[in-house]
Amino acid sequence: MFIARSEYDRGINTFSPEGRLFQVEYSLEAIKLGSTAIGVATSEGVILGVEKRVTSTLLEASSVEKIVEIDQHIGCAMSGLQADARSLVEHARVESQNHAFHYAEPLRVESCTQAICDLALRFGETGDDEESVMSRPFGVALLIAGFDEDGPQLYHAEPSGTFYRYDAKAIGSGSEGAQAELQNEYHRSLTLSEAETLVLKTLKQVMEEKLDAKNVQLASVTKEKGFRIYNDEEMGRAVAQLGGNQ
Amino acid sequence: MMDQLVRQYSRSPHQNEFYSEQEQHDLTEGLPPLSLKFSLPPVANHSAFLRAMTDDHSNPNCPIKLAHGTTTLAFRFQGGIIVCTDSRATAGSWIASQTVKKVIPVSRLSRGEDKPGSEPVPGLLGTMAGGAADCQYWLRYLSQQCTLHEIRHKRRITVAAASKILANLTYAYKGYGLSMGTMLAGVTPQEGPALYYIDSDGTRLPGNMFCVGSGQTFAYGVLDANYRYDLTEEEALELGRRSILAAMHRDAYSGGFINLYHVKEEGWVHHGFNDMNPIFWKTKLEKGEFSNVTSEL
Amino acid sequence: MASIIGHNPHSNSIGYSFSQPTNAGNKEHSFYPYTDNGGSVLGITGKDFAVLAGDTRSTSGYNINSRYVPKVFKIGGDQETGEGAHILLSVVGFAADGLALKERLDAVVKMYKYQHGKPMSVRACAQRLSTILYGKRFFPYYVQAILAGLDEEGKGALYGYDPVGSYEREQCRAAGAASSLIMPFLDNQVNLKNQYIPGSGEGHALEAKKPEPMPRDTVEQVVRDAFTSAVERHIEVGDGLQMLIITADGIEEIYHPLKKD
Repeated sequence: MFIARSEYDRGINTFSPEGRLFQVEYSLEAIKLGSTAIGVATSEGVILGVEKRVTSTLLEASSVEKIVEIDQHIGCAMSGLQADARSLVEHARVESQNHAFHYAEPLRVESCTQAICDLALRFGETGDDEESVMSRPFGVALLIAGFDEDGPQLYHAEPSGTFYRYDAKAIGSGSEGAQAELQNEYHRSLTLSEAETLVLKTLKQVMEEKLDAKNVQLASVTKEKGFRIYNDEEMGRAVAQLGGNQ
Repeated sequence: MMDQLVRQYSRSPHQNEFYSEQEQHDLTEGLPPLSLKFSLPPVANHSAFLRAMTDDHSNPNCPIKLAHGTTTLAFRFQGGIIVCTDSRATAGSWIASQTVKKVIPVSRLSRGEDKPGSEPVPGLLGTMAGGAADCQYWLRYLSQQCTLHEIRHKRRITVAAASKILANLTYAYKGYGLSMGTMLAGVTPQEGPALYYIDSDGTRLPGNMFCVGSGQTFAYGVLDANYRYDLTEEEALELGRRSILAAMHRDAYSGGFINLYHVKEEGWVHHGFNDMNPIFWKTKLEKGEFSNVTSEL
Repeated sequence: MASIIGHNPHSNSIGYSFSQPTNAGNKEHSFYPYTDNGGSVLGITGKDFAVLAGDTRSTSGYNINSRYVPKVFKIGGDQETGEGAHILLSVVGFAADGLALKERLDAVVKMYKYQHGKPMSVRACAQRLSTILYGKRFFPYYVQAILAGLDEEGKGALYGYDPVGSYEREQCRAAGAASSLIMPFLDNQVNLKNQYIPGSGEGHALEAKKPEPMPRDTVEQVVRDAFTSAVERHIEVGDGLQMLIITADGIEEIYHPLKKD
């Protein structure tokens, strides 16, 4: 894939003659190994969904945590190196609380995403007094879902530090197929429960295992309830509903 | 002589002219980091400086008069915890405000304002005695820490843990000149109703009943005489109100409005922010208390 | 004997956590970085506006150093004209600290707009000003600040501060040298304290008058009366009255001369 990599892929701070930063590009590859995560934004709220990859019957499925809360009104789904995500998420949580502390208002979703991307770029050699965070780029991508004065929003943040806002986005190993499916199925008048079904249906198509209530996880962000992770009962209902629709 | 001249001219005395690097950083970054950095005066003994400037106890003519809080109380009973305060803030003998909110919710910061009469709000309550700014700032800091705890661990913090965060903080700043005496009240599944007293010396005490501030003794007098653990909710609210009223009546540094809260399992409920004057006269004329006060000359 | 009778009124109040006993007596300290520049400021809110006013005299001890030093500033607007500002700040106390505070808040409000893509609300600004003041808790700004603007519903909003950042939203607030002269006047005229509706009952059953938001021209008149009265009785107040009025249409500035003695 990378023919002309030579020694330029070893330094994280060295451009190749063609103007590429290989380590950053490789970090994007790491995400393609990760489990699939999908986000769909509607006018009522945002739905996040992930596959859990329960690799063993002895694995406690509830301990696989791929959707986490950042603040009351923001949550995120991850794909890639989960351990890397933890420090990004922790940073976002602190940043969100720090904003609320100083400004008596919730942090905007875009500002939160920006804060995460600021940290994503803090790798490599650092200045004199700057705190070094990572020696390599983060190997994780995040789907950040939130609700603020601009309504429900979905952002995708990459290890390269770039972020874009999406109506619907898939990341991880099944992202290509899933994104094509989302492209076909998405429309602006989706309701929240339709989005729920769309996320599950898309996950089902790209997952290797058979989808059930244990190996996927959904979460929603709405104006009224903020960020909520679905409990077992709600997961069961959503998955049953999917079966009924087909 | 020569050395002195060299020393005098070898380095520009305006090296850090305008903003220092740190200050520039602070300005452009927007928010100071969570590590608690405070600017200190350029003197060896900064607490002596601060005391000379702000301590109106030892020096009534100090130039910077800070607002102080005064009578606060909280007690546990079978139905939860009652928290009650006055609302006067004084700077020296000047009444800086009669409408201070001395009960500060320690809950999610993004939740917004306290709306009276609504459903119980989950979270703890903190009270304010001593320096108003110290209490407001550090209880806000505590709210932030509690929220982070809740998000990280997916369950609400215990009152014991929350009070420990605050006590560790005041202990770390011991000797710097903070002034606060605060009570933390909350009901959690692990502890039931729990009440702690924390002050700026680093004290942290669990207990059933505390009164804090210059009017504390007056409030204790009423509270001790009438307190029982098995008070009904109505009786408990009335006792809280009556104890603060006694303190407002006898302590010149207390007064204004009676601010009353009840902490229950589901959260806290606000029972009003009411002018003490009509309550005082009602207590006197209808119940015959305060008969030392004449209503007619 | 005196020690028995004249007990310390603070004996059971919350003390400061200074490491040495605080009753060491009043010592002379060589480091005194503050000057009181006198003057007074005053803010009143209405239904859809807020007024922030201050006199323009600058004193140091018994000397009058200038007759036009503004104490009320526009925050978040153009450096020169103040255009685009939507928040007002008044500072009284040590003018250099006040100016530094104003510049700092102004920078923060502007940075906020770039970082978050929206103008800062007064509520957010009020909280931020509090944390800025508290950031110098151990080397305080010698200022009493008042912040004014319009809230999310378009109502006038006013926040009063102590030097280290405790704050409260209020209907009206006076600060500075003549605050003890002006504040009681405001309690009476704006908050209608201790005023009852005649004939509404007997003795303690009299019904208290309820304060209503005042119309703008009344507020301006109350502000002028407060200052002309303060000038009569306080040496550090005088020369000119600068009044800034914020409404949904923007900020209007009115200058009104005061006595110059």
